[in-house]
Parts: sequence; structure tokens; C-alpha cells
Amino acid sequence: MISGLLGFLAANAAAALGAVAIVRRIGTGRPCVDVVLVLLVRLLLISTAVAAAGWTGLLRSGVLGLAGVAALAALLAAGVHRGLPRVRRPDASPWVLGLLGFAALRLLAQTWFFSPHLGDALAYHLPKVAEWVRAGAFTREMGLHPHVTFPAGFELVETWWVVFLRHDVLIEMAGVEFLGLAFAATFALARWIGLPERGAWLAATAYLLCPGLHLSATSCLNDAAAASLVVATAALVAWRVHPALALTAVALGAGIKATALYPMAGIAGLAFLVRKEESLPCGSPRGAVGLAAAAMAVGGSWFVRNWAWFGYPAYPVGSPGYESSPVAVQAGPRGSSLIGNARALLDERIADRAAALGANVDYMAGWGALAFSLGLIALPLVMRSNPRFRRLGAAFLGGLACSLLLVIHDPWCLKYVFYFPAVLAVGAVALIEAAPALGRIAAVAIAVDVLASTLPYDLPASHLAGLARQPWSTRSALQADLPPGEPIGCFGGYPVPAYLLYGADFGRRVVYLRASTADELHDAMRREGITRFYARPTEGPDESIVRRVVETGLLVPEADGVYRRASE
Amino acid sequence: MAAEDAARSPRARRLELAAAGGLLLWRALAVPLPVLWRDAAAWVAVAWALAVLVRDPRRRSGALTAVAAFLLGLYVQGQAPHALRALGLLP
Repeated sequence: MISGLLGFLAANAAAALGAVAIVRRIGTGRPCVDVVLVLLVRLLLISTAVAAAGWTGLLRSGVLGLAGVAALAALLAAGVHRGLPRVRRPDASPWVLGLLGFAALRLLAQTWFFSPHLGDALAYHLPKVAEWVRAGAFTREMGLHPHVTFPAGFELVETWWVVFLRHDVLIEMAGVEFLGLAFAATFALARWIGLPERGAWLAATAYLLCPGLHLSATSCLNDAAAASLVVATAALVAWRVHPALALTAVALGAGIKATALYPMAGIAGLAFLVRKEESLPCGSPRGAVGLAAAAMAVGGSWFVRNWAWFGYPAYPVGSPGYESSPVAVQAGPRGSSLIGNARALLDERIADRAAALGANVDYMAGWGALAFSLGLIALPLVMRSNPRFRRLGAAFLGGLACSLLLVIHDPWCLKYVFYFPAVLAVGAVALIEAAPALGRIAAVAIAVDVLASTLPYDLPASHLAGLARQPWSTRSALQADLPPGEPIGCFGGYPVPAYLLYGADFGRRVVYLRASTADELHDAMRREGITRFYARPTEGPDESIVRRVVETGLLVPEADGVYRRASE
Repeated sequence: MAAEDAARSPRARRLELAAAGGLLLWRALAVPLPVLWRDAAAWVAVAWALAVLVRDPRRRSGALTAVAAFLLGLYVQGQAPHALRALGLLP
């Protein structure tokens, strides 16, 4: 653990210093834009390192740690650490700085005490991370959920936060990194429309505390990451940086989730609307093109892999029979989705009144109190008076319409547009600049957002207390006690929270059982040498298979979802 | 905002009022009347119309503050009980 921790620290320092060194070469000279680029390039370096290690079978703490130490030594020898900008007190209200400090500490506490618990994360995002860490390489086995083959750019960053320590206690930091990018990008957008630095700090803080985005960041879902890359792309396009740098953000987003691409028509519209504005210089256009190429390689690798392994770049989307899957996502535009999603947003969900908020924002938008009370009215009012905000608002509205056209109308559809509250936060602060009396409303609204972004509905205080009471080294949302280290089978299709079976230290081998009859299931257990398996089928053929094997006496139910093979 | 308003032509004002009125009309047709009072888009239309009609900056600021406070109240009434319950502060 100690050598892993040292490697982890060295590699993180190297990724940060490496990003600084690269942005010194390709940077724009505009601090608010260059900060966005540093965070973006750091994420690209991390993603590239994990992807390269994964494809070459070197995804191990020792290898990455040594590489990190070597890279850090080289960067220090080259003197990159000299000339780092001195930290100065930002020109922000003490209240805003205090709020930011509180939010940062709370994010650390959330990272420490939260444990992966959301269905999609446990069923298809994280099992592949566990398989990769255990194998030290990318694996073809990624779990039972049909979506395990979806692009895994966010999982690369999650893997970075777990592989050194071979433990998932810090896994939520991946989302926190992207939240930092969202903050910096909103700051850059606020500066671009002409807000003073104080206002930009407030706007960025308000977006950071947007409840849906904030809770998504520590949920191990990738929607906050996708949103942050949309906002970063908008900021880079608005400031007219070298197109390859904006393309870097787009390509990273494509490798995280297709929904990051959906609003890009709006962002392209922004590029058109600002085409006559002066562009920012780029220290090295060739370097910028190199970054874009690397991002496209990392982001596009999932589609190449799927095409090579399964015959469809976006597999299983597009494959025969996928449309009838109970978890099928929409492929292509659908007018009925646009109408259904837009009506749901405006008629009800925008008010966030259905339940407590969470990363999935069930039947809600998750945009928060500031967006609802000030951001919405600011949109037309600031668009009529600020030409740059007019373009930005039009671009985000266009992007929103595209997103709503392309995502299926379901209770969770608005988690795919977490980027939109960024423009509402910027607009709200611009409105406060024009009418300072609104500042008091904003203060109360942000306080409400702080409250609403503390705990997700799926991890209320009582559950969190249960997690907090567990030792950090074994903290897990799994209800059942499993014999330590013993391999376990996993059966039951997409609803199974498979990730929990690996343990926080990825110490347990999980064997995915694919069977269409009771005999096949029992044979598979015997063949794999498995004495226990975990299944949570509640309906359908999987449930009847488990029931049949239990009825025949071959399996004995042990605990919640755990079955033991009867002794023979 | 005040400077831009002064420079706005009467025709531009009429167009804006028409747009705000159109938005309000659409919401009145799309949302059942008994719940129109808590429709956020309808209140956006009201705020927009007020911003066009009320030229005095102080009065306009007051009107916008009233609309924003009302919307904030709506949000708090809908979300706060759930959030407090999740935090264990309400049964």
C-alpha cells in the first residue's frame, strides 16, 4: 500500500506538471482559458496513460507508479516546476470563497464516505474497472449488462484513482476532477460575456453547486463528466482558441458518453456566431493538433474495439434485437422524444419537486434553486442586453433542443443535459450585476442548492451512517456477508450490482454465469469451481431459472441474493 | 441593462412584448389553468414583460426581485422537504 501511495502521489504530480508544461507550449496567454486547458490536458494524460497500460497489459500499480516517478523526475529536471504562477488571493467575495472551501471539503468527505451504490454504476460502469484492475489489462469480460461495451472514457479516470492503491476508496475523485473542469469552464464563460472576476467566481460556484451535477460527480456515473466537457468545449469555442484544442474536449467527451456529442450542433452554432471575433493565439498549433489526435485515439478506441470484437462500433446499439432490450437507449433523433422531454422539463421536472435529488434526477431536472429562481428569468433578460450572452444562450438552447431530440423520454432523461445550468448560472450572475437587489435571492437560492446537493436520495443519512460505521478499507454497500477471498458466481442479467462482489480492494474473483436453463447454471458453477453465486432476479427467465435450481435442491439460499451449491 | 433599454426602439419593445405574451399564451394553453400559477416558463414570460414595460431601474429591479423570490419560494416548497428528509432532519 505504501509503495502504491507513493506511486499514486508521484503519478498525479507528474500528470499535473505535465499538463502545465504542455499548456505552456500550446497555451493562449489568457489565464482563465489556460486553466481550462491545464485541467483538460491532465485528464487527457491520465486517460492516455491508463488506456496505453490497459491495452498493453501493464495496468499495474508498480508499472504506473514507476512511470509516474520517472516522468516527475524528468519534469523536475527540466525545471517545469519553476515559474509556476504564484497563488494569489482571488478577487472574489469572502462568502464565495468560504462557500467554495466548504464545497471542496464536503466533496472530499463525500468521496471518503460514499461508496459506489447506484444501479447503473454497479451493473455496468464499474465491473469493467474491477476486471481491469484484477487482470492488469483491458478484458473482454466486463459483466452481464448489455451496456458494458459502451465507451469507457470516464472509467479510465476512475481506474487511475483506484489502480495505485488497488482500492476504491477514492474512486469518486474521478468525478470531482471533472467537476473542477466544469467550474473552470463556467468561470471562463462568465469572463467571456464580460462579467468581472468577482462575478465569474460566483457563477462558477453556483454551477458547481447545481445539485444534479454535484451529486452526479460523486456517484460513479459519467453524466457530470460528459456535461463538464460540453461546457469546456463551449468555453474554448467562445474564446476562439485553436480549433484542435476544442476538438480535444469534444473527442474526450465522445469517449465518455455519446450524450456529450448531442449538444455539439449548438456549440457549432456558437462557433459560427463568434467567427468574426478575434481568436486567441496558440503557442504551438502542431502541439494542439497532437493533443487532438491523442484525444481522438483515446476517445475513438472504444468504437474501434467494439467494431473489432462485436462488429458494431456502438455495440450493442445497432445490433440485431437490441431495440427490444429493456434497457435499450435511443439511436438517432426522434420527434416524440423532443416533445416528451421538453414538456416534461417545462411542465414539471424543472421544479425538482418529485423527490430528493440524486445523480439520476428521477422525474426532475436537478438544476437547483438558483437556476429555477434566477437563471430562467435571466436567460431572456440578459440575452436582450448582452450580445455575447445572446450567442451563448442561443447556442445552449440549440444544444438543449438537440439533446432532448436524441435521448429517450424516460424518468432520467434530464441527467443528460447537466451542462445547461452553466449558462443559467452565468446569466443569473449577469442579472445580479444589473440588479444587485437580486443578490439576496441568489444567496438564499445557493443555500438551498447546498442543502439539496449534500446527500442523494439513494444514499440518505441513515444509509450513509451505515457506510460511515464500516472500516474504510472494507466499506461497501453490499448487504450480504461473503466469505473473504472466495470466488463467487454472478447471475441475473442487467439488474445485478456485480461490482459490489469484487470487494473494495478488488480481492474477490467474480465469475459471470451465463445460462439459459437451470441445468446450465448448475453445470457452469461446477465447471468454474464456484460454490456460491449472487443473483437478484425479480422477474423474467432468470428468476425462473434460479427458482428451478433451488426447487431441485441443487442450490440453497443463504442470504439476501446469495445461493450456495448443495454439497454432493 | 438600463443603457441598452434606453437605446431600444419602440418597435423592438413591441416585438419583445409580443414574444413574452406569446410565451405566456402558450403556457396558458399547455398547462392546466389551476396550476398555471406555478409554471416557471409562465413566470419567465411575466419577468420578461416587466423588464420591457418598467423603465425605471429601481422599480424594475423590485419587480424582478419579487418574481425571483416567488420562484424561489416555489422551489423551496417543492424540494426542501425531500432534501431535509434525505438528511434525516425531517421524519
